[in-house]
Amino acid sequence: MFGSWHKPSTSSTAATTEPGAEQQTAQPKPGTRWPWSLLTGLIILALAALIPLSGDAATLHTWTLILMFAVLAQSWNFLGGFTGYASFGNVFFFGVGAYSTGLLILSGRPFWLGVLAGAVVAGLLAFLLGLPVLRLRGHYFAIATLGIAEATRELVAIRNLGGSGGEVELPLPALSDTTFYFLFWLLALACFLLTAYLARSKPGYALIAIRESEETAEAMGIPTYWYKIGAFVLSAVPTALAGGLYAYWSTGFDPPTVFDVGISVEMVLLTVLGGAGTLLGPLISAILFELLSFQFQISGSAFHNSLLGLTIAMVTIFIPQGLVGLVQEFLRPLAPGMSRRQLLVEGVRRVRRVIAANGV
Amino acid sequence: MSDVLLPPMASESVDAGSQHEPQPLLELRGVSKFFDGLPAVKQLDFAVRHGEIVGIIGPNGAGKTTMIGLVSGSLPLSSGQIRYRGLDISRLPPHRRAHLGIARTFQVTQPFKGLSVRENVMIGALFGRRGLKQTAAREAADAVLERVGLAAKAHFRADQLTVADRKRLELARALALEPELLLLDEVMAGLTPTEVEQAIALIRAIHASGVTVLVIEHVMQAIMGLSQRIMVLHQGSKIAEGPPEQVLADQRVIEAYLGERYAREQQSRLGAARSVPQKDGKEEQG
Repeated sequence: MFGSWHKPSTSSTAATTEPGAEQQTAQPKPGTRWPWSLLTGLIILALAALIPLSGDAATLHTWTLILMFAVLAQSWNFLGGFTGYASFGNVFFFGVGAYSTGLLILSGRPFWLGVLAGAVVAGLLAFLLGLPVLRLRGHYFAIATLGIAEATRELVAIRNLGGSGGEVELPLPALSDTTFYFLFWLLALACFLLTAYLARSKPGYALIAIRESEETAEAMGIPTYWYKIGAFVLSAVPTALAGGLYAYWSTGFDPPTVFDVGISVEMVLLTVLGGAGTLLGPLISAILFELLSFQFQISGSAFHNSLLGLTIAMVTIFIPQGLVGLVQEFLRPLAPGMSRRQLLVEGVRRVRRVIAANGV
Repeated sequence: MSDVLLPPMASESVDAGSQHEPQPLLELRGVSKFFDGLPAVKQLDFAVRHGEIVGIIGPNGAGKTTMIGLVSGSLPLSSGQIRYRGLDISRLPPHRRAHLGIARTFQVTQPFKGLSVRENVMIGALFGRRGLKQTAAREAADAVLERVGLAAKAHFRADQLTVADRKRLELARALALEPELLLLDEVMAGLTPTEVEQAIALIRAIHASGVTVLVIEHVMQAIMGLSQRIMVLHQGSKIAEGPPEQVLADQRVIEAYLGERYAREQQSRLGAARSVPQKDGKEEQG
């Protein structure tokens, strides 16, 4: 699963079938897809901004978490998706953000100072930890990051940081739930715009080159080590901001909650399900997946985790390129002059072919 | 690009700067590389002058690709020193060497698969010696693609290319760095005779534009026609160096490269009545 998420979405299909006809037209036209993705993402976020109008507290709560996970997944995407370094310990930065905020609030400082301090600390830690850890590749990197997060959780609990066993109790926030919602919304928007920038910029090309072949990237003049560290910091800061907001919003937390390895896994899953290294993938899958997750939770809590697990397994087997990859396959430009019906039939055919190619 | 370039070698005295002090562009001094204690390159001394086109040959496992790795920096040295323009680059990371003007291709082509052919080449222009901005880099990439004959496939995704086109892409990416020294690692392997001819013409043109070229090739004929000078590696050591004809006639080269059996056959064909090396046990392996 982890080896294949960068699998090019069309390699197995375009190369084998009707090479002549399709190859002429099937090339991705740089510059046509990106603005559409950007626009789609902005529309989704604009619609999400209307959620508080519903006036329903439960819906607002759900969507606050959705946006939080959108932030986490998008942040993970900077390193895991673009650069190809799958961190399984990104929750570490979430926890760092939460504890920085919690401890500063307890010491009587304003919450925003705590959130910002958390981001700065997380950025610094990402830099310092990145120096040794980003010399590792593949699984070793994943294991090292996992180890850091787990060790920190234990340490925080043992040192009784903030309270006995690391439990932190905060006063009720002075902000309304709607304000929290919009803070998360702004963070999600910022992450989205940053992703859009990366997808089109020189640093973004450096990260993608590292993912595709680190040795070649280096040979082509890219200081890969520093770009990787940069991506790690970029991934840590929004995660810590989200952690800080979460801490204040939830009014209380403990190490198992904010250093939960499950959150790390969810960042990975959301990004991979949506499409690692894509602009829309993490955002869309955060919304779909979290909505689905809440639905399962409501309808039958006993099966909740099993159903989620099954969904994940199915998606990783049949569409490792992620949902966005599948949609792109469907929308791939075809020979001009085809009717809408033909386009639809052809698109469905191609999507089926991708799924079959992956699953069989 | 042309402003950086030097006149095609041939007459070395043209190179005014190095008149009294003929400093080589690239110099390997006692370079060794061990993999888990096993030597891949042993005590190698070798130099390349400005504007030369030098071939490196040798049987499989002779250390050719290792040598490219050492010069480009993707492999750390075990001992010795590598100097480039008189500067010790032994400890520089690969990207710094690329900025100094050393570009390489990979024997096993490693395209950035998910990106288009143009983007692949553009990255070289973005991060290479001049570090161009995106618009300029795109133009530079298009010019290079035109040069290697890939312009029509600029929109293709890199993993959709044929073997020959992938080799072209390797070359194009290296060229996009605007190198001074180009290290070509078997860019002709796996090509058809026609494609080999095209490749040779292309390398000649690149060399003529002033780039110093180091060619590793397994295909003998190709490298013989191309190189002004040839270095033969065998089991990590240099066993011969000189003009192609001279190297080709070298008995040790014939033995090492073509096998003892070939050497013996050639000797007997020459009617040499003298003692033929008697190593029957090793005959099959020759």
